[in-house]
Amino acid sequence: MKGCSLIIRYLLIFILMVSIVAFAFINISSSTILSKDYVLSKLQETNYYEGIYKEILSNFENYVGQSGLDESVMSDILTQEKVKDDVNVMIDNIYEGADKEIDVTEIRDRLNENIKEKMEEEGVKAADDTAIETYINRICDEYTKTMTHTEYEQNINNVFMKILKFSQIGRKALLITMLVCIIFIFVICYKRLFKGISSIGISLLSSGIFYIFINIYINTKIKIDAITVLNSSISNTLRTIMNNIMSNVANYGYILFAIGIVLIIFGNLIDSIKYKKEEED
Amino acid sequence: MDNKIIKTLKATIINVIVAFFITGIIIGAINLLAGDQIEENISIINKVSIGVENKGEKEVEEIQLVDDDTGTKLKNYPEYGTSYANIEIPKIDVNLPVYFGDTLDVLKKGVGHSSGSYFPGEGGSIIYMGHNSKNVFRRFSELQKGNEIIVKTSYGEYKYKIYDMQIIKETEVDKVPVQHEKEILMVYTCYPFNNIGYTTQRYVVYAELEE
Repeated sequence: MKGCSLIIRYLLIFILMVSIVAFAFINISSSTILSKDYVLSKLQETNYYEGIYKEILSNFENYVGQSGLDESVMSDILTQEKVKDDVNVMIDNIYEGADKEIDVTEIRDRLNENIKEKMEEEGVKAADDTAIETYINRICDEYTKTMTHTEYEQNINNVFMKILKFSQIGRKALLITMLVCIIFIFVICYKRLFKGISSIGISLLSSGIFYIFINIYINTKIKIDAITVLNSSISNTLRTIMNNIMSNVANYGYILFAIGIVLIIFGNLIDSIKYKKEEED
Repeated sequence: MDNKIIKTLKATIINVIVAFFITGIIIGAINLLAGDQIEENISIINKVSIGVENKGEKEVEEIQLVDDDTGTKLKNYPEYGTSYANIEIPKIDVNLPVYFGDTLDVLKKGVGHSSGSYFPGEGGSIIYMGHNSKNVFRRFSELQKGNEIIVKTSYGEYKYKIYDMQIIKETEVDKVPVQHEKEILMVYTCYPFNNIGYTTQRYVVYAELEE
């Protein structure tokens, strides 16, 4: 009977530990990558809007030479404010499941105007009726592509909505699991309740060790500061977010480790005092 | 009192060992179930990371022209996207850097060298291209047969004489053939020169090696 309750207790400790790890993971994700406000603050912090604006202007310049015109046709066709608004449209699509589209009418009109002015000024003409239209379409497509990375947008939006939904359900389920485990641990240790406290301490300690290990493992294996995805602005923001997540992982690890140790010592100390007293009585 | 402390210590040590053991089981299980997948993903991420980190660390080796059994060719080709020469066309006041590569990013900086063609001195087709904008090849129409094109590289200077000019469609790749029998420099730009927007024609200047 004693052996059986010991096995059940360790099984509960194990389940509790897994639940704590999963719960902490959801918490870290919810407060970082899954939080719209957090991502917006990081975009601001890493000057993402300015970076992506410069990136787009540089991509536009690639098309200038091809057009037979100079840089002046690109002047004022895009503002940093417009880029910021469109980035926020994309963020809304991801985090709120909105289905808004990037509006390029303003860019199209201004570019068309600039080209016409330039043509009159330089006395040049279009190769054929569709040449200018094709050219403007290319510029607009380039803008939309840089903003949305079309091929990934739909996938990211779908995955994100599922993750957000799952994380809310998962958090509640894990909270219930943790509570049930704690109650059962105390039920099993009803004669020596402080043993129950040290059992909970074991779960917290193993969760802490697990997170410390994960932090060391990822930092050793992955060079986060050298990660490059799509363009420098996205890479810079991604690196900042990843470093932030890793520091959260480490913090969770240390806190769980410390609480675990305290609970183990406290539980065992009180248990040994109380148990000794009961033995003496 | 000592007995109690020893007992507490003993229990604490056992509990800590149990905690490490449980963590070990979890990590072992993850490794067993998804270890390969994790390693694969890490290596993909690191491939990108290492590529960026090593940029600039690589030593640039001197480009040389050497003779071997297969003929004259370059030793240490320039890195893609870097400038290795200057093209001068005195007749139309062109003096521009030549970059190895033909992407829009390269063409923004100057004249591009088609990566599938030969280099000056190798004895084959050299294909250069540039925009028809004011600062590049807008004045191509002024070129005539007999005009000179000079390509100055880090390994030598090459003079070419224009012997033909043609207007071709962008799809007519056979009009700019890559061969290794005679050193020919082909420089092309978008046509018409005063065109705005996207064009489907190219103006090609053909020049043969003079010295």
